[in-house]
Order: sequence, then C-alpha cells, then structure tokens
Amino acid sequence: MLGTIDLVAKTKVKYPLYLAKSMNYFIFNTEGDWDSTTLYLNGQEFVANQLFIELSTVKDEFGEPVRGGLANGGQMSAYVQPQDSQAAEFAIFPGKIDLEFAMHKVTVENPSPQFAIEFTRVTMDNEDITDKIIDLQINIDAIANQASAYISLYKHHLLGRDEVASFNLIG
Amino acid sequence: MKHTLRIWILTTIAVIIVFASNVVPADAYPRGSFGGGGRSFGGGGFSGGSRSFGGGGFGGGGFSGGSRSSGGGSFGGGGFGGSSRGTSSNRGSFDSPSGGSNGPRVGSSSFNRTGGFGNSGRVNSMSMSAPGVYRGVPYTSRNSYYIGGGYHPAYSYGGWGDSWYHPAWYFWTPFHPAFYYSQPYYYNGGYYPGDFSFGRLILGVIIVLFAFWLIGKIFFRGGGSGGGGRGIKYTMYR
Repeated sequence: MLGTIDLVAKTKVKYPLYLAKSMNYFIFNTEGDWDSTTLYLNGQEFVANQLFIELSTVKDEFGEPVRGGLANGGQMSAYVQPQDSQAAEFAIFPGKIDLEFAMHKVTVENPSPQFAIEFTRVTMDNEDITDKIIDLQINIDAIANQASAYISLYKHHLLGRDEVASFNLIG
Repeated sequence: MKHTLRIWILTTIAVIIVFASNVVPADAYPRGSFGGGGRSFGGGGFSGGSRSFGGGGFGGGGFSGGSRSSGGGSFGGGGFGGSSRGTSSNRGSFDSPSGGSNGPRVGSSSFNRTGGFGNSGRVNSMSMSAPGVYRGVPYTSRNSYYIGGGYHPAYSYGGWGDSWYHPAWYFWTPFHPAFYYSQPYYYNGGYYPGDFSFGRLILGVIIVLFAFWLIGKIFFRGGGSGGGGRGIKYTMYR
C-alpha cells in the first residue's frame, strides 16, 4: 500500500497539462493479485467492479494482422464500472490511462472529445507502439474474479518473417 | 663637253655590265667587279663577306649589293640588287657550310630530290607494340582517354570493354555486360580495352543470386500459416 500512496503523490505532480480538467486520467496498477490492484482517477481512488479496455486494429481479408497498427484504423471499447453504480459504465476516454503491471507499463490516451480512433496513441515501456499494436485487451473483473491483460504487436523484420508478438501483462 | 661625254661613256658601260650580270652566273663575276668602282656595291658592303664565303656568287654583287646600296649611288637601288639576287643561285649554295641561309635555291637539294613532298599524313598503322590479344587486330577507333590528369591514346576494338572509356554508374552492376569486362589498361603508350574477367563473372553470379534471395525474403516470406501465406511468426512474451 505504501507503493500506492507514492503513486498517487506522483500523479498529482505529473498531471498532463494537455488534458483538460474534464478529461479523465486513470492510473491502474497491479502487482498480480487483488490486494495490490488499485485504480485512481485524477488522483483520487476510483472504486470499481470492472476495468475493461479492448482495442483491435484492422486485419486483412484472411483475418491476419497487418503492418501499420492504428494507422490502418481500428475499434476500441474502454470503460470502468464503478461499485456504487451497478448498471452505469464510466467512459475512460477522452482521457488517458496508465496501465502499470509488474513488468510493463502501457499507456493509452485519446484526447478527442468524439473519441475518434485515429487520435489514439499507445505507448509501451516509453516506446510509441501506435503503429505496431494489433490488439490490446484488459479485463479486470472483480465480480467475476477474472483478470486478464495482454497486448500483441506487429514486428516487421526486413529479412525474416514478420512477427506477432503477444505480451501477457498479468502472468 | 668632253667631261659630259666621259660621263655618258662610263654610264653606258656601267649599264651594260649591270645588265650583263642578270644573265651571267654570279660566280662568273670576277670578285669585286663593282668593288673598285663604287662603294655602294662591293667592297665596303660585303667585302668581308666575299672572304668568308670564299668568293663566288655572294661576294661581289647579288645579295650584298641589294641591301647595302639602298642608301646611295645611282645603281644602288633595289632594282639591280633584287634582280641579281634572283639569279644568283645556280650552284654552290650548299657548298659552303653556312651559306644556305642567304637566299632561295632552286635545283639543288641536300636530299637529292625535287618537287613537292610526298604524303606527310599520319600513318594509321597496326602497331606491333599492341598487347598480344590485340596484335594484328585493326582497331575501330582511336580516341583520347583522360586519366591521371592527362590525355592518352585509347584504342577501341568494338567490344564491351570499350564501354569503360566512358563509364556509367550501371556498368558497375552485374546487369550490364560491361560489368564483366576489366577496365582499360595501359600498354606501351596507349590504353586498350580490358578483357573478359572471370572474376567479375563469379562476382556477378553471387550478386544476382543474393539479389534474388533478398527479393524473395522481402516479398515472399516463406509459406507459413494463414491464408495470406506471408508466414507471420507468432511469439509470446511476458
């Protein structure tokens, strides 16, 4: 919990200036169990039942991933479900969310008020993977006691076969 | 009156002698024919010359008179001098070692030839100094090849090796025939096109094979899975 307190202190200092105060800035952190899993919204703890983010980019006619990432377009769903409101879903975007796992940190942001997919930027471990990402799926469901998070990237190799690299963020 | 008559007689004699000098060979003149009478023609002018040349044509009259007497004397003008010069060349111009520069000579030559020169053009010969492979083979053209800060003769024989006299960038690729020929080489004062190079042939084969392999790697990524056949590799990381 000390770590969580420190994290909150840091986010207060590093609040993104380009995000309007009406935009959301979530910080999700987990060490791999429920006890270490926290969620903060604009510096305040956000008690939720579920965090769900699903991003997928365009595939080819055979369903195979293609090079280009979000530059080819895609679709995304992102919301949290607060504990105090069983039915309502709280939209994450427009805004930003930091997904901090034990070994990786993924940041997704979309400042567009219309939540246009082309304004989405994704970074992983401080590397912009917007043009590499294939899929991102985060599902932290406290009600169903399920937690899954993975991301897959398209890695182009000039001389070798292209690679679809999948990262299990909770493992 | 007697004095006048005497002058006329002397003048007539002088005229006769001068006219006679136009038809008589120069060496027929006795030395100093005008020397005694007039300064303008002989003694003073080329008296020394007569000694130097050993007498004869240039001694008394001819050339010397023409130039020296221009300033004075009734006969000193160019008329007589010039005319005598023109006929004073029958013989002996080269008898003396250095006398040849004093006038044109007709009919006598150190080379025992008469008439104009023969063909003085460049002889387009097949030099025996060409490299062995080109010896006896007539070249198609001869140009200048600029290399090393100077121009040198460059012989072309109509093959691909000639291309290297004016190289282009694509000659360095194995897709142009000139690639397989060596560059011109210097031999005995001129440049000759290079021969077929087996080393470049091997190098060209290697490059072509590598190019095909690279193209295959880039555009045809092996069989692999999926309908696209691009052979994407799937990996899992933590």
